[in-house]
Amino acid sequence: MRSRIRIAGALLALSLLSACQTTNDVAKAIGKPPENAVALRALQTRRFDSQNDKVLLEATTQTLQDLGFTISEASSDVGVIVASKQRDAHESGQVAAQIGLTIMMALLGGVNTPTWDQEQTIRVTVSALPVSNARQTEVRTSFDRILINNHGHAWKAELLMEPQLYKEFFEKLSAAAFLEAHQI
Amino acid sequence: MTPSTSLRLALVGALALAVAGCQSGRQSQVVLSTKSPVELRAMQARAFDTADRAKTLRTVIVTFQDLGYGIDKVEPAAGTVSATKLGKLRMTATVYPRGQSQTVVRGNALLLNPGVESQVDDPAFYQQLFFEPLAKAMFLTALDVPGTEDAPPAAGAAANTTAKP
Repeated sequence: MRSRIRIAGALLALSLLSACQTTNDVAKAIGKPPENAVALRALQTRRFDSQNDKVLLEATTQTLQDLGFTISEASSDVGVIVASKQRDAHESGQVAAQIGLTIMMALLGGVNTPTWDQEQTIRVTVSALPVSNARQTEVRTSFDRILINNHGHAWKAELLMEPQLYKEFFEKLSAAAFLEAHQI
Repeated sequence: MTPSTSLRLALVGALALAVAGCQSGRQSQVVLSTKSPVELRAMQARAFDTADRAKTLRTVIVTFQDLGYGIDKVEPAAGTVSATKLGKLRMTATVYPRGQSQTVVRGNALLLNPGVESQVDDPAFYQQLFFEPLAKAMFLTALDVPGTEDAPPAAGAAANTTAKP
């Protein structure tokens, strides 16, 4: 009984704390650059020995389409391509854990709405920027994803930082553009 | 009521229902800042000593990527770019010329909550989390824009804009 009061107290304190956060506080917390920004930039960037950013953008479009992405925005004037794809995010372990938690809460007299990842939208932004004083173009690619839960709400979002993901993307882009990708 | 009048009324009713059915009903409410337009402009706009608007726009895009945003929309002709970070924070940046030798970048941020979008109006947010990284990427200093400056020039007027002291 005492532990239930403690949990209720902790939840109340948490909700009061979150109520104190203003729009500006939340924006400043989200707007902070990623902690490992320098490493992330190295991961996401490659240089190609060509000043023709249009050729690289065409190769990027083909690569993204090969990977099952749909192009949602493209502007060759400023060297940008944005694409996304939906994928299943269902994990049986997570579902089992949520159902177990709901049963446990019900036995304790509490209520838990089981929530798990249902679907994910993976988004990729690619920008091509000619390098000043060099016959090269810098291509920066960033992947992120938004997870939709089983209630149809977007509830989690994260930047994708797996090195393998970027390595494979640049290998495919390099092959499509017939150019070698140099790490920065 | 004649049969033709009631038929017309029924048709109008059906049409109204059909139109209402098209509305999504999920439009977010936008909560704007209560700060004055002068205050907002002072925190949201900076001038850079370059006349290269296209390069500035490209650098804004790269800065957004550095900060972890994904690009939503780019309009090079209008000099605008919209980006979202983690589905929660949306920034729209406008790039426009100021005189013959400067380019102004203005950013506006909205915090996205289900059903409500709130405008961010903290000068520290714009300075530290947008203009400082942008200035580093531009290799230029972000200069304050005097309060007498107006909004971006209308389309077609940009080329005729004269330098202001």
